[in-house]
Amino acid sequence: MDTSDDIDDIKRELEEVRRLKESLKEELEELREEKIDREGRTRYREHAHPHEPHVVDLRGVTEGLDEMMEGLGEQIRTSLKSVGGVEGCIRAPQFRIVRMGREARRRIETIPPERVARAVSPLGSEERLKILDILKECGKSFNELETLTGKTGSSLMHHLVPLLEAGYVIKGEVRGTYYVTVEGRLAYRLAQWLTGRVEAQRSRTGENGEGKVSVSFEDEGKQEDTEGDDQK
Amino acid sequence: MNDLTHDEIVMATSAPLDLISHEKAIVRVEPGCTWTYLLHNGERVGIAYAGRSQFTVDAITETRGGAVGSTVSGALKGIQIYIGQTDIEKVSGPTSDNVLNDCGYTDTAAFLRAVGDSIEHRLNGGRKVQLDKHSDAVFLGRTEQDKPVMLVVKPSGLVFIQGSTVFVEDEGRTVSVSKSGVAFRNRDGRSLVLGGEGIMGLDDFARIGPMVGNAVKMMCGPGSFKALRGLGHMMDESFCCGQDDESEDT
Repeated sequence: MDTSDDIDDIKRELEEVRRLKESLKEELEELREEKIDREGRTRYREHAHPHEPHVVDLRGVTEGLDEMMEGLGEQIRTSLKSVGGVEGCIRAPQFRIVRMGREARRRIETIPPERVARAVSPLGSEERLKILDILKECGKSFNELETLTGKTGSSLMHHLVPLLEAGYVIKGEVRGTYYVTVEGRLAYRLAQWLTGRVEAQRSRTGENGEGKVSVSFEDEGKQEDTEGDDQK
Repeated sequence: MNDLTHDEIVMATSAPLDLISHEKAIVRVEPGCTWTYLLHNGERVGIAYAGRSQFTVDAITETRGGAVGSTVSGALKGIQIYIGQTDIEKVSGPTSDNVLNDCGYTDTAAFLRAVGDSIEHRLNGGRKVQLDKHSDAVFLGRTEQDKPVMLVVKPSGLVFIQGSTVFVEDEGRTVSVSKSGVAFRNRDGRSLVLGGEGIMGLDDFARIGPMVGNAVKMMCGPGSFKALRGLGHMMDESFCCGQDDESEDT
């Protein structure tokens, strides 16, 4: 009797195993179909949108966009990989960054001194730089500028006129408010950048300017070294 | 504002007056302008005038990258329509033939006919104008070059349209379209400028990559509800400033 019970139990277990096997087989089949379907869709997408990456031309755009686009596609791809089941369905956009080329850099280096002077000379005094610094926060009236710079009347105008003529500052005629323009803000920031670089270089090489001078128009990490005059 | 009509009384200014005097806009009427009241359901709601006058608008948007736009100004010619409160009667007296002739009209009847035509053309005919009678002002003018000028002034801001220049300011938010580009400025000072030199202000969105990454990662976990909140950092002030200067300078 005991042996017969054991045989019945084994039969039941075998039956359960068979059912489990069938169920697993069905699930496996479903997964296979799903995979084929997904691959088919992926192939279709790849066919419709070949692997040509989108070209993002950053030559005329701010560094902010450069920074933003850098690695954006890779970040999205990495994120999607961690989401189960969707990595094959969604293709993150591919970007190719176009930066300022050698030709553009060469053009900058060939700008003649008179053009450089036109851009730089309006910045050529502490008072004018102070005006730009004050105006970068918000527009100011003539009276406010007088108070903040310590210059009055014609003395203040003497410094304001070159900035107005260069287009670094504009005057709102309604209330006589002065504003720093995009060009003015850029010129002031570049002047600050130049100051920072020169001071940093001095601190590395000493006051007499011995050693190499680093000049870079592009990445901070890809500096182009040129020999200083004293080493030629 | 349909059924706008004009009064029959015609006056002339004897002193200059700023019809509109806003932080960013002025419409100035010179002495020797001839004018009449505009009526709506019998109530005086503004004036129509002709004669020497000018407008000046600072269509300038201040952005983090610098100011964009310029001052737009010009002389006005023909019939000008102003709807809003005014003290013009305090600097006015009865008009004369000389004043009317200087303004280009033979007599008061000719001036009033021109006013009537102008009202019909610019305001009636189903155009909707809704005003807060106590604070808003609308100016519909024509320049010497016969180009229309529209200026709406409210305590919270102004709308200015002239030719290809559009300038809208409302509670610190600005949209500006001008020759120097298109500028948008939010109340907190963040701005985007589309100009001839490219796009400026995208620095505010420099961390869009990590933000997208974080948001997508969160979608696969129990914190999926937070995913959209993760993107909300795009609008957060804290991350966006101060980074660009340091990275450039060092």
